[in-house]
Amino acid sequence: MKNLIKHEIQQFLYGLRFPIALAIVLIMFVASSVSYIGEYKEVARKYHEQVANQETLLREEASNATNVATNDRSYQLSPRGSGFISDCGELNMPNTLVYNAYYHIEFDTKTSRNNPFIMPSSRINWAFVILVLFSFLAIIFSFDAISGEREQRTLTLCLSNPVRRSHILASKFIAINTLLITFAVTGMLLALVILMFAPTVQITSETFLEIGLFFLFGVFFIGSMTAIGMFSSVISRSSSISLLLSVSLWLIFMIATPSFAQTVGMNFYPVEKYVVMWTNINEKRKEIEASFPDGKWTSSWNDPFLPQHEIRAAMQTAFAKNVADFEAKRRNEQFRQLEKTRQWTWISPLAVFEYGTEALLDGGYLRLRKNYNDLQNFKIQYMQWFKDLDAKDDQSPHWYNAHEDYSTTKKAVTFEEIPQFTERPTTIGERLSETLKYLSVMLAYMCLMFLITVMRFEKYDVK
Amino acid sequence: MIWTIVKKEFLNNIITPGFIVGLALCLVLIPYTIYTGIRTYENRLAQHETATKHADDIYQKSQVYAQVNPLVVKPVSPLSIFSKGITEQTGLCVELDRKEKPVFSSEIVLLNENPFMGNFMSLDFTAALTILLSLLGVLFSYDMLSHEKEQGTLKLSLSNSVSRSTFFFGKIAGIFLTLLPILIICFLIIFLIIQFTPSVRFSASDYGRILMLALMSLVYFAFFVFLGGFISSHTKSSTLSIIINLFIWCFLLFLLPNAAAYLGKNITKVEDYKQLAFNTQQIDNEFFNKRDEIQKTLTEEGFQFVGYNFCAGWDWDGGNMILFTPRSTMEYERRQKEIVNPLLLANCDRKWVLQQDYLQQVYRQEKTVRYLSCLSPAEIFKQVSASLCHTGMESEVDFMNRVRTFQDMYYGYFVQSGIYSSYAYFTPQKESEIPETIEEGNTQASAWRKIAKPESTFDFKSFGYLDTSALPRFAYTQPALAKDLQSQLFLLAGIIIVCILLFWFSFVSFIKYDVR
Repeated sequence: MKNLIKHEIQQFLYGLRFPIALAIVLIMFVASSVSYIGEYKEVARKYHEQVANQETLLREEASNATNVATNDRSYQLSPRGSGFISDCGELNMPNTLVYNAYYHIEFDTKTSRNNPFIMPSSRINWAFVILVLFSFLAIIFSFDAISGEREQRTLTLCLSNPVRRSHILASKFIAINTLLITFAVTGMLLALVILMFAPTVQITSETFLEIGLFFLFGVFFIGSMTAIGMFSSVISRSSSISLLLSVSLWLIFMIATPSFAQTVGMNFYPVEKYVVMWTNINEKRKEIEASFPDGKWTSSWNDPFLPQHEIRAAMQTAFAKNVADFEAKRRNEQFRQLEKTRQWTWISPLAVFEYGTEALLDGGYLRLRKNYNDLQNFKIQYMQWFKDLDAKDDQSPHWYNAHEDYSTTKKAVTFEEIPQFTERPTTIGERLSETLKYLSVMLAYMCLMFLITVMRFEKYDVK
Repeated sequence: MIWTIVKKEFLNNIITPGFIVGLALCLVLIPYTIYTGIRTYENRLAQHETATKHADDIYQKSQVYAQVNPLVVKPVSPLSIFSKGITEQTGLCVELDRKEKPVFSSEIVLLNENPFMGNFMSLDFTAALTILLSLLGVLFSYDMLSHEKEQGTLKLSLSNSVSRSTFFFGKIAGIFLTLLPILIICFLIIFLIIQFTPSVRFSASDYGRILMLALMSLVYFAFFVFLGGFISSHTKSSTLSIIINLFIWCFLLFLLPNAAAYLGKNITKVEDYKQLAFNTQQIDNEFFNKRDEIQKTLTEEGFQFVGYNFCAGWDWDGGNMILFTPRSTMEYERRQKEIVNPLLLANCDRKWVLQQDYLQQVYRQEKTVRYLSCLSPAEIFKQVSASLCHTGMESEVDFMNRVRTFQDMYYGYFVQSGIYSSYAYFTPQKESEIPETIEEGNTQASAWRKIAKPESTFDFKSFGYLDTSALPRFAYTQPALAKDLQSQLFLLAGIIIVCILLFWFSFVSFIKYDVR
């Protein structure tokens, strides 16, 4: 077995695949680091600028406590230090939450825009290199593992020795993976060295742990793709057919699966259309408005205790709740659509790898969702803070109005008093429990594919 | 003789697994992309209809000039079913507002409105074609010479009286002929689907563009055929040839475009859009201070604001539609609007300096990414296709520029014709009907309520609608094919030159090829 593996590796070392693959791998890893350094500096600068802007706005609003409660505040997710490993699809998702103390909470999709004239593309990071390049390399290295040997008539010679078929297959599998893992390690080390020289990028002990687990995930993923390539090789009689089959499977997993899954998700787990939602909101709004007595629109800036202000406050707050209820319902439908659609894509190891990386790095959708849930809890405290503040003011009639400042405290507050939402860090344990789910799926995928390949090879006609 | 070679090549190719798999992939992917393209187009069309109706309502159902802020709707091209271009990032409408010039269009219509599903790639026809045609090109040509050499048939073929050039041309023509049935089947499917879709109707000009798209597909296919031929003529075995071909294919289609976009974005940086919003807000704050000063001055000058009786809507220059309100407030409002609106327009121009700077950064970044991406023929194909289908950047920039010019003209007309100084700007009541006191206003309102019987608090339709026939209207025609082609001329010329070079190199290599 050891000799077989050694022999296989030697074969690859003398071939053309080895230098081409190594060159592309190193170029991509270096490119990922160089780009990341430039990008991270810029992203961090923009983020701090936004935090400072938010503080400026809030300090201005603090002259009137009601404005603090009713005006929208933004919470932008901070750039992740592990972005060089994977962006977790954050580029194509909202990264800012907008909320106030009342009911309003939404994801900012208007100002968080990328350059709209550039067609969407992926960031070049480690996950992209593993996902696209290594999956392709795994196929290129394995497609002719058996069919190629059969064509060259070396398979019969090989099997005429006292060696088990499963051992031959396993040795090839191990050899290809060893080679690809060596490429990955070399590339990652090189990229890491470049990153460590950049003063802006912080590599902590937690980052190393993330790298280690990512690497483990990568090993299983490469193994799965190699198993798919070898599977194609044992069900074809010529290497050209096995190559075609492998490339087709690769295309199906990479291009067709996410595209088809989106259609499945849209049809099986529909989300209410935005226009429909607003038609419903407006209809309900009319009902709410009609339920309030005349004088509801009468107001006076100089007289907070004007009786109509109480009606108006109740009505405006009912309007805000109405919008929030519909939006929350639709948002839950959107979350459900995404989660269910993701389950459909589990047939693709590429998708499992992506989700696993996201769970490991606490990024992407999972991070967004976590912050959304936490923000809802924070809003309860935020509103309570405002109510407590309002209760202390005898000049306030305490009629809570979600949109206007007629009938609650207009006293100034200091910026430091205002509750601030901060992201809750996820412990490694929490992340691991989610990651392990995907890691086991990937491991099962690899073992299953390899097992099927072995079974098929046992019956393979070597002539 | 050449025909015999072409025929042989064609017959050989159509029985290869490559042809069968290629055809199968086409049969699955092409109808799927056309189906999703049509669904997105229909969504856009529905949205376009609603927006157009709303835009007409603004002109027809406004009661005061302050309400006539036009909504400009971008035409939807049925060709977008072939290439979505940048339509998933740009909107369908632009709401004009004298307070700010539009930087981007709004109302983005997506096949899926779920913002969390952004990572699920939605494949369009052009994207599918870039993958399929390149793969087919590689699969048909990678063993063009090396396979014959391996089999020993190359020596036999060339020992006949056939010249190497005839043999080479025959091989190339055979490959192109092999693509023909796939293309015919694909386009037949497309036209069948379209025939049964009443919402999709093409004009003569659209057919011209589809033809150009088909020709561009052939050029793109030729690139990979010639590349495959070139590699095949430099390698001794087909396995080696296919490995090199596939490495290049993967690099050009999947690695290079993403790397180019990523590097391009890092080379040419763009300020955060949120920062632009923050900076323009600071300018607005300065405006608010000035407005407050104006309001103080007005009071000092003797204009008296004694409150509204009815006010529907609110803007930076005061109430939008005011009714049954005492003359002193009305005169105060009229004077305020007369002074504030030119200031608002000047404020808009001040913000536009920042916005323009931001837009220039965006354009520069796009240019860098485009130049870097053009190293990949797939990106050239996508860009030319988007331009042909009115979904490219040029189309959007041209539309937005015209909208901004229209906005200047539109609000300029308000200033020139003295609309901002008139009562008609904010009240449907005639000047002579304006009450003198709050009590008189209340009496007027009660009398009006009895006669008009409004359905809700803000139902004023009994006052009738404005005659807006004199107001400027926006009209937009999409650029002609020649103009679109002109903008893509360098890209087209580039890919054609590369194809000719590749063809020439592979031809020369084959002439010198060692057939032993």
